[in-house]
Amino acid sequence: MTVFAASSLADSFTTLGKLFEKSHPGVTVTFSFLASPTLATQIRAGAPADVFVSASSKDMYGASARAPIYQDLISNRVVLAVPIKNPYKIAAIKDLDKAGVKWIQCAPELPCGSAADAALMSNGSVKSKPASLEPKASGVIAKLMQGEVDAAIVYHTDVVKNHKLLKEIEFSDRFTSSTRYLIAIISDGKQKVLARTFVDFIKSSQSISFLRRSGFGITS
Amino acid sequence: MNHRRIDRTTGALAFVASFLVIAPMIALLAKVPWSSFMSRLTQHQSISAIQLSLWSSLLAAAISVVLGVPLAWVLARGNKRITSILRPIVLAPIVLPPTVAGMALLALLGRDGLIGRYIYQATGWSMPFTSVAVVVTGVFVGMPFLALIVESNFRHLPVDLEEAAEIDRASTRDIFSLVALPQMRNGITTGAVLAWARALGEFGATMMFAGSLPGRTQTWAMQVYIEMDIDMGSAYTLSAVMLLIAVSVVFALRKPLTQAFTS
Repeated sequence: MTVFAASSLADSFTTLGKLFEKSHPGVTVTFSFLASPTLATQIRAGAPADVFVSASSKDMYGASARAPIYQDLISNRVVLAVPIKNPYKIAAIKDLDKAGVKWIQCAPELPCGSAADAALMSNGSVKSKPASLEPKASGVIAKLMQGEVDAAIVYHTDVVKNHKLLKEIEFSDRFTSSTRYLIAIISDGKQKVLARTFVDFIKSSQSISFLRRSGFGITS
Repeated sequence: MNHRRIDRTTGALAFVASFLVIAPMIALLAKVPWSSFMSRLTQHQSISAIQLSLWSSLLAAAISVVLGVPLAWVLARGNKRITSILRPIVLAPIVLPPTVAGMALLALLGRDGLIGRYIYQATGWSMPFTSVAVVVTGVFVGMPFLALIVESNFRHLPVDLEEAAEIDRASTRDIFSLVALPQMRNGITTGAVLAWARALGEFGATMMFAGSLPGRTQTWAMQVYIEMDIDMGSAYTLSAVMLLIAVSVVFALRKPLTQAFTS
């Protein structure tokens, strides 16, 4: 069974996939973790996926020809992340405008990028521009961890995972900074029965509480 | 050339080989929305990506010539014990995966890089996310192609002229610049065009080292990648122009290219 999932789910879904394999002997779950719009493009082009988990509703609609029925799964939100060392003493969103601060975010076509844009617009105080609009969400967190930038707008879950090295500053408007993950079974997938079982497993209270511990939010 | 020398099996395999190479390129052209070709090509994002790629790759090619030709001369005429070690190392980027190239450039020139950290400490400036990073990446991936071609050309210069100049007590510098270089117009042009084309098409290392900001580091190849998820028509349009450039380059250079790789 092949699961196409937004790259921000890579860590937690890898763990959940292993649990699923353990409880379903003989089943192998193969993941493809890429940016949601890229996955949607691939699904439209006929990629052999059985399940699609997108990080935004827009990308789920993009794949709607093969994923007509979808369900709400979890939510996430973007935050401003800074290294613990934080040489520029960034303590508020508006500190992004401090002289010399270099910060990045996802490209606007990615869910993490459109959430970042919406959150910044709602905040309204930041005048500086990001040094890069990264085409991959993982690129944003990698460059922050490497110290190439002083701050980055990343998912809350990225900060939870790297809580020893990063700290976060929340956007006050939780609505605009949030993104919803949707899950769907690909209508012409080869493993539809297994896919149904997998979706039920992901939506089980056990999986959801695991996702919650990883920092994801609950939507329903 | 004798056509009867080619047996059926070999001919069939050669056909499959040609198909594998040619068919995707034709398919790409077939998918281009020609009716909206110009409007897609001239939209703001496309124009700024094309401009950035053109000037940064031309600059990378120019730097590759200035530095790569002397390198090629050293590889062709230098101490064999040194050049036999130096050559494979400086040519390595030709076969290096772009992602590895990106990691390597970050390791050297990033804020925490071996050199980059001193630049950052001294000036507060770091190379990633700047157009400079785009050019440096272009030089890193493109110059080895130039060095490869130019060295091969230097090696095939008749040594008699250089020896005659030596007997006439020409300095080693004059032998390089007044005797060898003037015979190299074709070789250097070929190398420069290859380096330019390689820099123009660079994607992976640029994304990792330079990031992606419209007008500053978002290159043509990056724009293709981004448009693929937004507007396939634009992605095909931008790809088609790149393809036409690539084919024209190889076509224009068909003679010197064949010579450089067969002589």
